[in-house]
Amino acid sequence: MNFKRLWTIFKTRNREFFRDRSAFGWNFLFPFLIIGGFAIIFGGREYTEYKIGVFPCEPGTFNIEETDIPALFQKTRYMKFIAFQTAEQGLEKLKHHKIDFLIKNGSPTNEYWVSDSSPKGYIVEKIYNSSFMPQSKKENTNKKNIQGSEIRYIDWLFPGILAMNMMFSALWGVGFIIVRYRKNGVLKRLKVTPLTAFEYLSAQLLSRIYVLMFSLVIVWIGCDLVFSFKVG
Amino acid sequence: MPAILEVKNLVKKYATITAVNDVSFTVEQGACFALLGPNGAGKTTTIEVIEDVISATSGTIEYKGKPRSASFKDEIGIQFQETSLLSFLTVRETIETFQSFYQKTTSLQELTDLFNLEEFLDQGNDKLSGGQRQRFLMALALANQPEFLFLDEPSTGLDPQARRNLWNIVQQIKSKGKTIILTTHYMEEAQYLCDEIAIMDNGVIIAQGTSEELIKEYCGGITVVIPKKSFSLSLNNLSMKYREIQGRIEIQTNSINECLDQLLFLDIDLTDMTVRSPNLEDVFLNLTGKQLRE
Repeated sequence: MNFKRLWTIFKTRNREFFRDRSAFGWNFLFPFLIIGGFAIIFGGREYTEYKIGVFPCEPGTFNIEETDIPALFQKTRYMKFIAFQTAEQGLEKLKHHKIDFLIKNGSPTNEYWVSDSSPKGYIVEKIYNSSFMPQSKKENTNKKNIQGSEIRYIDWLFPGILAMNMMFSALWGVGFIIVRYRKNGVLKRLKVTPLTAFEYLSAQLLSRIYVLMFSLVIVWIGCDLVFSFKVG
Repeated sequence: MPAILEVKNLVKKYATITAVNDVSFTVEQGACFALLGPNGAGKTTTIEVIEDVISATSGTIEYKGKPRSASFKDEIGIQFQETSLLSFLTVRETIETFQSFYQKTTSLQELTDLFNLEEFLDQGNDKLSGGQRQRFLMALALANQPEFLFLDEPSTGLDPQARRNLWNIVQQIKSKGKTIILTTHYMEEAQYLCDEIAIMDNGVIIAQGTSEELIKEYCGGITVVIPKKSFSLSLNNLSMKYREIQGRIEIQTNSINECLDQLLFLDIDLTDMTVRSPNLEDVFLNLTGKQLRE
């Protein structure tokens, strides 16, 4: 093993990488674009939201607080109330699961409709019925809060993109380059010099590790500035 | 001069082809040795086996009286017939890269002066003209101060002027006492540069010697060349040995007087006649019945 020869091939390969615009694009621009693209596509906040239809009401002037729906149910989070003028309009939506639950406003018997094939409808029905139950009849429970924040889709995606980038970069930067050099005679030219196959391959691997670490840091810092990643 | 390289009974076989068949020769120290032959004769395979790029099927190769050792690669310089180089490097960087592989090196300045590299030293190694590229590849071959130089068809694809320049460079290298093996299918190149020539065909050396020895042994006399159109119906009446090549009739004779007498007797138009000394092309033609570049 001659470290001078290894160092030369290491430097040469690095030069090749930094001067090759296509390699530069694949290693730096591609991860940015992928992460940016996925951030746009999947970046929206999407909480489970239950849609409750209420009739007969005027959609233009609808105010949930003016209905006789139990206040406890009205104040339940993640409920969205939608006004319908007639029962038919609401039932049509309910039938196709466009809404999860339908309540008749002003009904003395608290009439409601729910689709038996809708899991969300089932949950809403339970919440609706429990809102009529007196507080004293409810079972004792012990609520405790924890501190935490949401892990966004892009936070999950980022390590995967980096790993994919490293994998492709290694495959391309070592595997493909060696195949290309074998085909176009570069390896043959190097074979007749004192450079050994081990030195050549070691230099290729070290160079790729160096380039990967470098590109990883750049992509990480860049993406963190744009998307504010949470690490750990 | 002592022999620096000795090749004995070298055979290289591929699946169904014998590329080199029982080739033996020796190269003296400081000599320029040519392997001359048409494409596919086995020249490149022979020198690639010697260079240790490919292994021989059988036979022995001795360098300085011993089998080639690890130091052999330090002492040889090679210019392949076709080669690519590490991408995205300048000529200067490529030479420096190759220099770093060796203990002993020729300085960049010396190489630049010898091969006139100054004008394109900082140019990309893939952006050179044919002549520049050949000079650069030759400089690379000399980057390690080699004792033994392999030049595989160095002038192929060059225009006549670039070829002439290359010959001058090879002469300069030779004058520094380097031993050279050169393969070529240009007979004038072998004749001009080399001390000893081995003519190869179908993987076999069919003749070997200096160019004078080969011409004397296989040709002799002079060659009279007449365009075929000068012969009317009288070609069949020609009693001298002749051959027809690309629209001209070549007659090899030891007596120009007798030859001219017969041509005049047959009433042949001699206006476009030329007379030349025989060359290695004639040697090859006489040995194989075909031209070097067929």
